[in-house]
Amino acid sequence: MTIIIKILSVSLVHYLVLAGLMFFIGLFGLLTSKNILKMLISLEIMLNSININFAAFANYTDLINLRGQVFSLFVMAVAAAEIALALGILIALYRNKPTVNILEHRELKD
Amino acid sequence: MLESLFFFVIAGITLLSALLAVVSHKIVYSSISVIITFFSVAGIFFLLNADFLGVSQIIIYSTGIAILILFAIMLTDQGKEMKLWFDLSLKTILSFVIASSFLFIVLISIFNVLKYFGYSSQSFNHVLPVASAAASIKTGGSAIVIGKQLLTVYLLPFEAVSILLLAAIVGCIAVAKKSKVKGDQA
Repeated sequence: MTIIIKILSVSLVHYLVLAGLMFFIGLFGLLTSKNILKMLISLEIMLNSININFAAFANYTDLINLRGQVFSLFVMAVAAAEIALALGILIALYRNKPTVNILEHRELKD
Repeated sequence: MLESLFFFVIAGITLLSALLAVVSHKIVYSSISVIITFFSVAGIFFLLNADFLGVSQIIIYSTGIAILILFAIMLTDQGKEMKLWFDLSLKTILSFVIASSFLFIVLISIFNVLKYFGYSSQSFNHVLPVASAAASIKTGGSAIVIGKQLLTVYLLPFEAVSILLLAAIVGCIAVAKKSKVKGDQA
């Protein structure tokens, strides 16, 4: 009975497990998808799970300084710059070769 | 107890929409599900007393990046790319094994740390460690603390991030614009 109450009452572990599951989903999508846009979407899911970890640790261990939330803001800024630049590169790439299939963009290898 | 209920509902929505974003056939469906994921992650942030972070999540992710992704979908032709959904090939199985072994390592380490510190440790309890700081954050918001941190301790990374954003803006325009030189386009 106590273990059920322990599971149902939300603590740091719940947030860590949620972030781990989200990272798993994002990693799986990043490795399997052949569409460039879907790879970027999976990357955003992974970055979001990392932000959940930072916010959870800031809430449960460092509530005075909130260093985790500050670092999470930096992660957000870098992610925004990264996705904007990646989509710009995707548009430039699409102008060269009109496909979003990642397996057909292999000019550097051939 | 109500907070726990909110957590389980929002976590369920997050995981379900993230899974839908990864496995759905059409890219438009996955983009819509990833927008739902962004909103529910903002809800997780609100549960974690991170109001400034949650609002930034809504502003940056669920509107800004979502609009960028939707524009990229509109600018590229997705009509004939329907068969890009993953199938039961060796690559899929291998990537599932890699991702699930990563998840296994993460869960093992979390529960080992939990066992090491004991279930009654303060970090793993649902009671917040510093009651006065929790009360001030719940009434005054976390933006005061974050602003003081950003402009004193983390001033150098803050300025570096601003330079990074400027470089990203200029770089995006330089990469994505059409080149004026004739014969340059392949």
